[in-house]
Amino acid sequence: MREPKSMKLDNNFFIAKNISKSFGGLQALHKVSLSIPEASLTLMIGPNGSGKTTFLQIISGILKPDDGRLVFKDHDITSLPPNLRFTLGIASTFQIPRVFPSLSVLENVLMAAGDPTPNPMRALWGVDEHELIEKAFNILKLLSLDHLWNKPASTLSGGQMKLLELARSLMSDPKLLLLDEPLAGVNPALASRIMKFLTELKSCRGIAAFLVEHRLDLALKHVDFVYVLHHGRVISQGSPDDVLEDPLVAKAYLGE
Amino acid sequence: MEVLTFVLSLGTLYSIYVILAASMELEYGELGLPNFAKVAFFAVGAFTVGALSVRLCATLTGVALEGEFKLRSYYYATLLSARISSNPLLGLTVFLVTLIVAVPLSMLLGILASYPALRLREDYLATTLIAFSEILRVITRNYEPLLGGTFGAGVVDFLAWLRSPWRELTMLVLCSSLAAGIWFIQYKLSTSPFGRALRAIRDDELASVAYGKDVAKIRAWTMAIGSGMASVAGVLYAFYIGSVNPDDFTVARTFLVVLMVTVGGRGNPYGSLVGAATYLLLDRVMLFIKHNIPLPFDVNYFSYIILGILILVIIVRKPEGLIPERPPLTVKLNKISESNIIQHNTEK
Ligand SMILES: Nc1ncnc2c1ncn2[C@@H]1O[C@H](COP(=O)(O)OP(=O)(O)OP(=O)(O)O)[C@@H](O)[C@H]1O
Ligand SMILES: [Mg+2]
Repeated sequence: MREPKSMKLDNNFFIAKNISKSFGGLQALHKVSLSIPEASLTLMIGPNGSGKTTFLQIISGILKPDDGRLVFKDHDITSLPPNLRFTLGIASTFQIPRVFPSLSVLENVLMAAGDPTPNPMRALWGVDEHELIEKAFNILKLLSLDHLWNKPASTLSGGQMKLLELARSLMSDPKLLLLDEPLAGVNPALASRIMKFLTELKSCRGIAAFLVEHRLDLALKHVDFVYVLHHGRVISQGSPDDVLEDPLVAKAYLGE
Repeated sequence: MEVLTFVLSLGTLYSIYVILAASMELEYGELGLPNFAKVAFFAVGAFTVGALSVRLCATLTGVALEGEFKLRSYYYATLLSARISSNPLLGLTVFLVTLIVAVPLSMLLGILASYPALRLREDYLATTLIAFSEILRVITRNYEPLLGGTFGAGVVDFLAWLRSPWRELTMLVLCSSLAAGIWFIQYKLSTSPFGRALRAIRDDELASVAYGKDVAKIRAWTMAIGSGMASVAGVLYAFYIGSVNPDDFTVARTFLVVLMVTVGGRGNPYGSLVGAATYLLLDRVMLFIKHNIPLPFDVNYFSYIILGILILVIIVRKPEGLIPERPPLTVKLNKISESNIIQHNTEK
C-alpha cells in the first residue's frame, strides 16, 4: 500500500488506525486507516456493501471495532460511547433516517442541541430556548423544511426525512460532521445547495465533513480528498482527479 | 349528607389516581419505560405509613407499645387517634414525617429499578418489574413485625382533631392540592426540553444516544421523579383508608394505572387527568349497578371483564387514547420566532 498522502504527521484532528470489523464470518472492514484534517471535505466512495456505513458508525460509536484505534483531537475515543463522542463534537447522520416520529420537525432539530441531560428542576422554572429556536429555523430554511416546522416528523416524505436528519446534525455545531449519503433522494437544486453549504462551513467555520456519497456528479467538485473502499479495504485515495484516473477504482466502482 | 360524603371521597380517590397516572404518564407515556412495578412505589408510601404512624405517634406521646404488632396495631391506632383529636400538631407531625421518609425512600428504589432498563428489552423489563413488585408484597405479607402480615397494620387518624364532614373536606383539600401540584410538575416536565428528551428516547433510543443524550441518567431521573410521586399517593391512600394491608397492593393495581394512562392518551400531558376520571367513572357505575340492579353473578369480577374489554377496544380502535399526543408540545414560540414563521409562510 502507498503511504497515505493525507496522513501528515502534523494532522492530529482525526485519525482512524487499522480499523477492522467483522459480522459473524463476514469481514466488513479490514485494517482501514485514514485521517481527516481540520476544515476539510473528505469523501468516501465504494460499491454497495463495501463497508462505508459500517466505518461511519464505528467513528460515531454506534458500532465497536474489533480492532484498531480512533483518535480525535489527541483523545483516544475508541471506547467512548456515542453520546460522549457527540458532546466532543462528532455529529453523524444515519443513512436510513432515524427521525423521532412523534416529535415535530422543529423539536427533532432541537433534540440535537442543548443539554445532554436536560435538568428536570430547570424545566419547572421554564427554559428559554429562543436562541436555539432561531438557529433551528435558519437551518430548516436552508433545507426548505421550515414550513413543516410543526408537523410530526412521521408525516414527512422520505427525502424530507433525509433532510431532517441532516438538519439535526448541523444543529449541534459539530467539529467533525459524518454524513451518510446526505444527497440520496434529494432534488438536484437542493443537493448542490447542500454541497455549497458544506464548503461554506469548511471555510468559514473550520468544520471537517466526512461524507459517504454515490452522487459523484454533485460531490466530487467540492471535496478535497477521496477514499475508495472495496470489500472493506481502502483500494485508492487521493485528490478527486487522482482517484478517478486510478484503474483499480474504475474497475471496482465505476464499472468501466 | 350522604351525597356530600360520596363527593368528598370520590374527589379524594380521584386525586390519588391522578397522582399515580401522572407518574405513569411520565415513565410509560413519555419515556416509554413500562414501569409495571408502579404498585410497589405506591406501596412504599402506604407501607411507610403502616409501619410508622402508630410507632411514631406512640413514641411522641410516650405510650409504650405492648404485645404483638399484628394483634395490637389497630387497638393502638384507635387509642393514639384519640390523643391526636386534642393535639392537631401531633397529627400533622405524623403526616409530614411519613411523607418525608416515604418520598426519598421511594425515589431511591426508583433509581435502582431504572438500571435493569439499560440491559433488558421492553417486555423482559416489564416482567422483571412485575416480579419486583410481587416480591415486595410477598415479603411484607410474611414478615409480620413490619406491617402485621395478613392482619395488616392500623393507621392513626392524623385529622382526628376535626369533625365530620370537616375532616373529610380537609382530606380532600389536602389530597387535591398535592395532586394538582404533582400534575403541574408532570405538565411542566412534559412540555419542557426534558419531556422532549423523554419522547425522543421512547421514539428511538439509538438516535437519542447518537445525538448526545445520556439515556441512563434521564431514565434514572424519570424513575426517581415518578416513584417519588407514587409514594405520595401511597401515603395519602393509607391515611384515607385508615389501615394498610400488603395484599391490597397486587399487580392488578399497576394495570389500573396503565389503563388510565392508555385510555387517557399516552404522551399527552392531560391524559392522566382524563384517564383517571374515566376509570373512576366506570368504577362507580359498576358499583352502582352492584348495589341497585340484581345480577345473577358477582359484579366485582364483572368489572374486571369490562375493564379488559375496554382496554382491547381502545387498543384496537383508538390506540392513541381519548386525547392523543399532538406535537409540538415542547416548544414555546416567542414573538420573534413567531413573526419569523409568519413572514416566511406569507412569502410562499
Ligand atoms: N449489523 C450487521 N450485521 C451483519 N452484517 C452486516 C451488518 N451491517 C452491515 N453488514 C454487512 O457488512 C457489509 C458492509 O455493509 P455497509 O452497510 O457498511 O455497506 P455500505 O458500504 O454502506 O453499502 P451501501 O452503499 O449500500 O450503503 C455488507 O456486506 C453488510 O451485509
Ligand atoms: Mg451505507
